[in-house]
Amino acid sequence: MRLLLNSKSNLFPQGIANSSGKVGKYITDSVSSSVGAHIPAFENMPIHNEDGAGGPHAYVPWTLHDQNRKGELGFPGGYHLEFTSGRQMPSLGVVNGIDSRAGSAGVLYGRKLKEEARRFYGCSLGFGAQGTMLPNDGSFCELDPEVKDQWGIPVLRFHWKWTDFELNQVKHQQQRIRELLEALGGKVAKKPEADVIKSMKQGGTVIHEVGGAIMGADSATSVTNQWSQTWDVKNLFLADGAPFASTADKNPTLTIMALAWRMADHLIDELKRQNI
Amino acid sequence: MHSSDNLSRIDRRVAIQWMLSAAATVAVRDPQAWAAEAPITAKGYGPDPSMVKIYQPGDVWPLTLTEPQRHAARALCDVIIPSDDTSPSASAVGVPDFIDEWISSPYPAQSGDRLIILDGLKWIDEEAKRRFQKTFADLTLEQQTAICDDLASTKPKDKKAASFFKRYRDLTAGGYYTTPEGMKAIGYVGNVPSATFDGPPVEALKHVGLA
Repeated sequence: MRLLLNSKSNLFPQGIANSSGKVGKYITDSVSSSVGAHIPAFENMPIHNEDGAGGPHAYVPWTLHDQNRKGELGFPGGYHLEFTSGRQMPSLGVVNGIDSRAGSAGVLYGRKLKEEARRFYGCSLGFGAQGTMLPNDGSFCELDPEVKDQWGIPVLRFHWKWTDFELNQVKHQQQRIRELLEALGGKVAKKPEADVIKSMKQGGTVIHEVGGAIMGADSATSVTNQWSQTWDVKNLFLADGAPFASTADKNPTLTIMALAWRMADHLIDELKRQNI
Repeated sequence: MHSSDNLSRIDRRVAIQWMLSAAATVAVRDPQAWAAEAPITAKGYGPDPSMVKIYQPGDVWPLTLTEPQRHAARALCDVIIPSDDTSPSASAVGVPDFIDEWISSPYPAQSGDRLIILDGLKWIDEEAKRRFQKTFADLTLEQQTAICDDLASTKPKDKKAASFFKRYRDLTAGGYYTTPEGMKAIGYVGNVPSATFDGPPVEALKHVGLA
């Protein structure tokens, strides 16, 4: 976006490939929230290596397509669940919450602390959801009129807005994850947030931000055609996440690769036909 | 009970790497909540520290604890995490050095702890002298435990000292369990090469009634 918007010329006073004015618009990210719980059944678990039991080997896909189609959920698309298991490499907060968990109103220390630390280590389980976001007019980037980098080139500034779709989805995520954890006998320490925005990750922080030069069927309302080729400049193709017109309930990298592959196949075909 | 020999420092590079990696997971505390009694002027590493250089104490930022403070810090670490049949004490794996680096570093997440710990170490030596006429490090374990029991109790008389004790306990345990010895003590056996992923062992499945 930054490159396109800063590439101004007599031909492209709004930045290259931006005759539609849509460069920078319609940025989306995964809609994400999580809940963790203490699982008493895991206490004093036999010591074992649990590396890889979370993200790399387990994934809960979205299944409520029927409810979606009937419009029962109040949001489009869906979300997948990833989970974080407890026996991870200890960090500084490894004894957080140990006193109340061990039924002590005071502060544990000494041999008792070591015993309880071992007993409770690895007894947590958390689910994180990542879901669909449709583009909206309030989520976009533009050139910052004030701030420039060390070479004097304007940086981007970002604007973000959630719509009821995302907020409804996060409410659903929070409720469903709590139900899952409680079905496992888990104790969720955190009370549900009355303000749903407080339980979700800020836009951009899932680092799945895509869009900003969206693909479309109409050169007046999009930046590229179906081949990620900009409408305005025929020899300019965007082989990254910028042509995404929305965020799905999946992580974007494989789709970015698929679009780039498809674009490359198209280029080869056109070359063979001597069209380029 | 102690000599300067057994207060030897661990390698500075190890202590700094350890402090930075442990700190990467801690939430930023509000530095405005605490007055800057002993302000830090060092700038820190910036985003790209040289981890191949061997740093000497004081190269990057001056360390804070004086010898008497180090004695108190070390003694308190070992009351909190003593050695037992299967694992070493907190001081045996260098946790007092970790805490010294922690409170000496010029970052917001640590600056709140600096005053709490310096005040707390002062308090605990004064309390030891008031009750037993010796510094905390020179007390018997029973005497040290008597002081710590008061701080760890449900309704401590001195709330400020109790909140120091809780924070010091958290930092000591956090420092300890992020060492290889501490990871072993708590039962973490990951971070090793695995040719296959076999899922949980049968003993773990039995433990939760699934085998």
